[in-house]
Amino acid sequence: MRLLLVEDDKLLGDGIQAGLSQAGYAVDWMENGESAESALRTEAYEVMILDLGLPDRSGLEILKRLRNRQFSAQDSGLPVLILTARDAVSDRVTGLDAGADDYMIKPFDLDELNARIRALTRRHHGRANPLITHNNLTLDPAAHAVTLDGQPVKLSRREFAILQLLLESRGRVLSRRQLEEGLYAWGEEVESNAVEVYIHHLRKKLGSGLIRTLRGVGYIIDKPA
Amino acid sequence: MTLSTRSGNLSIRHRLLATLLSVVAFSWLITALVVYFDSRHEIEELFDAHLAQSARALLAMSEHELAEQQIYQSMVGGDGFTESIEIPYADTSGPGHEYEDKLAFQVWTSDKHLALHSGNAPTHQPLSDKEAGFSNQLIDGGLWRVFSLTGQPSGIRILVAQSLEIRNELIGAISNRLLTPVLLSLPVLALLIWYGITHAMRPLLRLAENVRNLEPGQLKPLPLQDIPDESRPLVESLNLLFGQLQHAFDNERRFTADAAHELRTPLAALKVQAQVALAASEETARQHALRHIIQGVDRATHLVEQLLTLARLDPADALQETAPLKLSDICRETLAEQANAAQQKRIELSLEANCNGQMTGNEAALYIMLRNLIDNAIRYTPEEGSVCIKIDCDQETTRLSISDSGPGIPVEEHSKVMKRFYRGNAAQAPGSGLGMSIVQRIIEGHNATIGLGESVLGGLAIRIDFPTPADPANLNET
Repeated sequence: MRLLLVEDDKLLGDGIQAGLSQAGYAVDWMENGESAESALRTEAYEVMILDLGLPDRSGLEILKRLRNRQFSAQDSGLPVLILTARDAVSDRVTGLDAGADDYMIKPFDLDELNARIRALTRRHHGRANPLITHNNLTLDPAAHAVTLDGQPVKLSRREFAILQLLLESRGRVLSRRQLEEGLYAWGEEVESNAVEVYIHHLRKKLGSGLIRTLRGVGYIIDKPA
Repeated sequence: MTLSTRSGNLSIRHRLLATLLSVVAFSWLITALVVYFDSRHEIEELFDAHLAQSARALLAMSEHELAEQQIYQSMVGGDGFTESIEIPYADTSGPGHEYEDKLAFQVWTSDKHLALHSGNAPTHQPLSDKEAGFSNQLIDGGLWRVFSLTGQPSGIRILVAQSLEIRNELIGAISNRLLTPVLLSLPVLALLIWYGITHAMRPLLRLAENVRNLEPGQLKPLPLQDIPDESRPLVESLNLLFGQLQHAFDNERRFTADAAHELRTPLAALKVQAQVALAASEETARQHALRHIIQGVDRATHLVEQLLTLARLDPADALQETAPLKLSDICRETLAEQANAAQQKRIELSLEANCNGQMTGNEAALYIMLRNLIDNAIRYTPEEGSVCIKIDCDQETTRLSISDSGPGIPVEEHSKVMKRFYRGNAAQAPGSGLGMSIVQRIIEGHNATIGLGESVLGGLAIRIDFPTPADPANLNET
């Protein structure tokens, strides 16, 4: 899953990017409002993590523009988690009222950030259950665990990410490019045929009937009948 | 206010009341005294004149009577005025006045025969020994005013007397009438004055109430309407003071809040990097995170140091300790200290002292200021650039300029530079964002001004103008 991180502090930004990558996310890290907005214009993200005190503009401005559908590439309902040093209740109220979905005050725990991102994606996809269940397959985003008929299946970080992406958008075709975007952040080298290789591995581990290939279009996991 | 009303001797109201009442009472007393003596004098003159006139009328009548008797005598023979005629004052059957017994008269013939007298007058001796004019006599235990007159050539001596009691009674009555209203009206006057003062003091009490209602930390200026002219300067000074206090409060509050917020980000970075290091499966990733933790600790340390410096400079009297110094010496010292940092980036440091910058100042503070400025310049200047310090003096100003070949700061950002925790947009160098606030404080403490501009080296030029001391030669000797 691809996340947008907007944070001007180098050490913190680097840390969050590294931490979220460890959790299997592709993280695009922008250090100012200008580049954050251009990223929002060109890429589709699952979640945006937004620092409010940016050098060139307030994070709230970006948030308001997002909610006002000013970024064509973006779902205006993109879940947004605000990261800020401002802890006053009024600041939190302002942030949430401006359209933020969640609010975290620095310093924060990386595990909690991960959990909140999972909660945001879950809610965004309209699920209340933290586990994604599909027939005899269960995916636990928090534990990064997949079971088939109750038996754990060992998946790599990227295999897990692709499976999660397809399960999150069941019944919808995802192109190879969309899957790649969910796997790789900007600047990461995209291995050619990587998506095909991961799909191949997933079919081997979970059975070939799960993921359907639509030639020239992409991949889909059908909604359960 | 409360204090002054309680301890009566300080109360404006009591003082005013006492002063006004005593002034009024004193002036009334003086007036009464003047009137008393004046009327006493007038009454005496009036009564004396009356006495004299009565005597003359009596003389005229007596002489006429004597002349008639002499004609009669010449026809009948014999002595005139053989018997004394008494007019009894006790005979009050006819119309009269209670004061009648306070009047007496005697008519003596030239041969010392008492021809006529009032009932209350002695019969064996004249009322006064004085031949003519006024005199005061003690008669029957009372003081009398006596006027004597001797007719010429008849030799008839008239003595008319009036008890001084009458006069004193009259004068007493006049004085009473004069003083009674004063004594009666003093309490009324006191009440009126009290009311007047209370009314006049009401704006002051309201002012006190307004001041009492002020919250420390929320010092709003006091309203100037309905303030008497006399207390306007007080209110204006108070408002000025409140303004300064409020400014200091706000500064303090903002500073604490900003400082806390500024520490949150480095702490967040430390925590996240530590968690990344802990969870890292690859050795290189862990090393990377650990190095970042060390960087983060360095940065937090620097921030705390700068915060402490700023906090120490914040009180108004922090820069009070001044001594004569040479700006060029401080520049040389700072440059020597920063030479290493400059060398690492192969930045050329230079000092162009066109004068030695004699002045009076706080050496430690100026040293901190220069270190911050030069540190900033080196930080933001790319490798192989140059940083130049210059000192120029003229009669009015001693100018310290720091120029660099860095990226400079866009004009629209200039006003933000002095703000706490501002870090330039393009700034790729780490910093606390407090350096310029510290510089600003020190500049204010030295009555200097700061200006930003473009340097000939292509980057930022900071100019600081200190007032040149009136007589630098004096500083040399001390």
